[in-house]
Amino acid sequence: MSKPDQELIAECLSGQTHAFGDLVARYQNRLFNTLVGVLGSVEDAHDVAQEAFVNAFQKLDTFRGHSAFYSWLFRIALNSAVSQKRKQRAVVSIDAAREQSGDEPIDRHPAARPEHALETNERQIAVRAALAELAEEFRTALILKEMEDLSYEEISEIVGCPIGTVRSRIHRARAELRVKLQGLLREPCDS
Amino acid sequence: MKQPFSEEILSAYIDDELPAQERAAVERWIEESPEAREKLDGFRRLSGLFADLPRNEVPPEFPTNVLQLAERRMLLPEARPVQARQSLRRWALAGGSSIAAALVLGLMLQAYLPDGAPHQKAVRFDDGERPAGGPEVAVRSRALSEGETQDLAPAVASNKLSSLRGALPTYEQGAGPAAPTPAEDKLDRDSPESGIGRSAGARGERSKSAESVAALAVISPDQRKQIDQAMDEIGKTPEDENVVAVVKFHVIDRAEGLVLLQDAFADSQILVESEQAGEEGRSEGKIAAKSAAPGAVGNEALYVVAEPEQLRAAIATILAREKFALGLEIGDPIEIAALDDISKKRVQQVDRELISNVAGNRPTAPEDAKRSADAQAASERQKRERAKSDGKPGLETAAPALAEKKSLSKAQAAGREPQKPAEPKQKDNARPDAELKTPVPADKEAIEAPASQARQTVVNLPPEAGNQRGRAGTPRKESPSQKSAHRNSQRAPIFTKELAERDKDGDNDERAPALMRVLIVVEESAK
Repeated sequence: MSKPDQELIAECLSGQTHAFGDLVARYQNRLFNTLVGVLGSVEDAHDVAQEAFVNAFQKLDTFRGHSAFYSWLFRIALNSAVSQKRKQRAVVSIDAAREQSGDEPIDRHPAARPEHALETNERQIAVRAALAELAEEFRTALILKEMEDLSYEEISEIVGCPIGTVRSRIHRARAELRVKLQGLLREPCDS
Repeated sequence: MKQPFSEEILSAYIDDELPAQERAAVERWIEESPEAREKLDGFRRLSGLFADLPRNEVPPEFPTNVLQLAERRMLLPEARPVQARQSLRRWALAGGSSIAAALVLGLMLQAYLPDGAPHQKAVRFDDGERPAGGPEVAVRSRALSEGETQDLAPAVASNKLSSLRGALPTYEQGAGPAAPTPAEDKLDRDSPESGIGRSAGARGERSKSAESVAALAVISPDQRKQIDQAMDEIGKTPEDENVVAVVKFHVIDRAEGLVLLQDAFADSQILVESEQAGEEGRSEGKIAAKSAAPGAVGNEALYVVAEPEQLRAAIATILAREKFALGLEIGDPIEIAALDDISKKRVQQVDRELISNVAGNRPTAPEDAKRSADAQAASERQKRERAKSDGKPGLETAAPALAEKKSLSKAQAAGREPQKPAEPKQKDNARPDAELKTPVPADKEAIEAPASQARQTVVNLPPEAGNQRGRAGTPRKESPSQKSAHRNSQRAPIFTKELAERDKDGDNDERAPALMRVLIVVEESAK
């Protein structure tokens, strides 16, 4: 049976570095996939995830256990992601979406907007591209909800804002996505 | 008609984030209102799109990479954080190679040290000295008495030992320590502590195991300070191509020490350069180093040009091995002109090649790195082919050939099959994803990466240089050669500055550090 996070943290703080490896293995893919969604780039997500784990390792003695280790880790990762994006002035683009699918880019011509992207890969590309166009705070909140199924409270801990703000951000993200992906949703635009 | 609830409430409803009373009211509204049902359906279909998104997985070596990077940060607290995609490549080139150096040197030293090595003590960072908080991290070991060994908490000691097993930790999920490679297995004989996270048990047990494990050590704060001072001193050396800083290692066996030093630097991608090329060149260098009979005092030294981080890591690796390096000392800089003709020629050859590389091939920004690396690789291939057709390999071929050989030999030493060439990518555009799905081991990256700029070569030291005594971290009196250097620095080409000017956009991010030139002298000292 796997050990609880707190036990692994205690072991790590007592000098058993390998325990941190268990924590990394436990959360690496969740963190990585969330970061892919937030950053829009597999490579950047890998780097930021790695950096986040290293930072978490170095700051582990400051972790008080008031929140879940996972929330704490995600907060570190998102801070790293934000600072990296600022530094790189990275633009999450459809190219990044293509990187993740390994497929050819969809045509940027208006006639080939997401509403025409019906194949699975194209649908994924369209979703990634639409996500990339969202404001960062909306995108982050929605990804933490939809991909990680975190509660509003957990998301508020991670992004550092009130629960009401999280609810609002998630709704606004959905509303925007609904417009951008109306072709995929086969739903008339009502706003 | 006004809607009784906002869309935001509906959004929270599908997330199950409404209080019971409000939830019940919303459900009634949904039953009554087709419009509400349509909106709800839209949100649910949107969620379905997320469910279709592919989930990626990080490479299996990810936890190990994290642990190694974390420990490296602890060892080199001033090391810059990993930045974006630079990290993977530069990690393979500089950081990774330093780690590899530590690993390989660790294994070599374990094999080198005689049985019945002295007991070890794992030294704990004092709270005020621990670089960045976090857990205790062992980075190296050093031989101390059994009494000292027993002062340590078992958990900490276990960590030290485990970390030192291969100089840096590896991680295997759910298995505690990774399965030992043949080399590690050799080291693990008679030792109950054979991996990271393995409990040491009682102190007595740990001490017993300590007896059988070859000398392991940690970098003590004093040693770290010593390295900092040494790096400062090297940095203060006049920026003059005619003058080179001198670092002296005091060792027990000079001949063996020089060979080990050479290998340690080579494993840090500080490639061996000599008049002979390739395999031959390296052998020649080692023969030169070994030519002094054990116990005799020769005058060979290593001329090393490397990035500060590479130097620091290699010096730390060497210095930490107390069984090998008894101390570090800064000597007076010496003038290249004082070297004999062969040595001068070798030094100049290294310098010429580096300047040529910087001027011609060295990438100036991350986005240019791949293109430049490809160009450099093509250039190296051409040189190799040209040299082969001449029947005499060119000097430039030594470095990449050696790098490739060493990478392969490292893989073999670790009990792995040499890496096969990567599968051709389906599409260039799919590169990042493909890389992650088919992770490339560090050794593989080292093979494919452009050759390191760093070089080392064996030179003969002028007799008087060996007698100059310095002291690590203390200001030196200006020697005649330094005075000359100061004079010369006003007119001589300054290539360290030339190398430093690579940060075109001034954000200090993609700049590779300037190379440092240093003459590594090995002196035999009584323990």
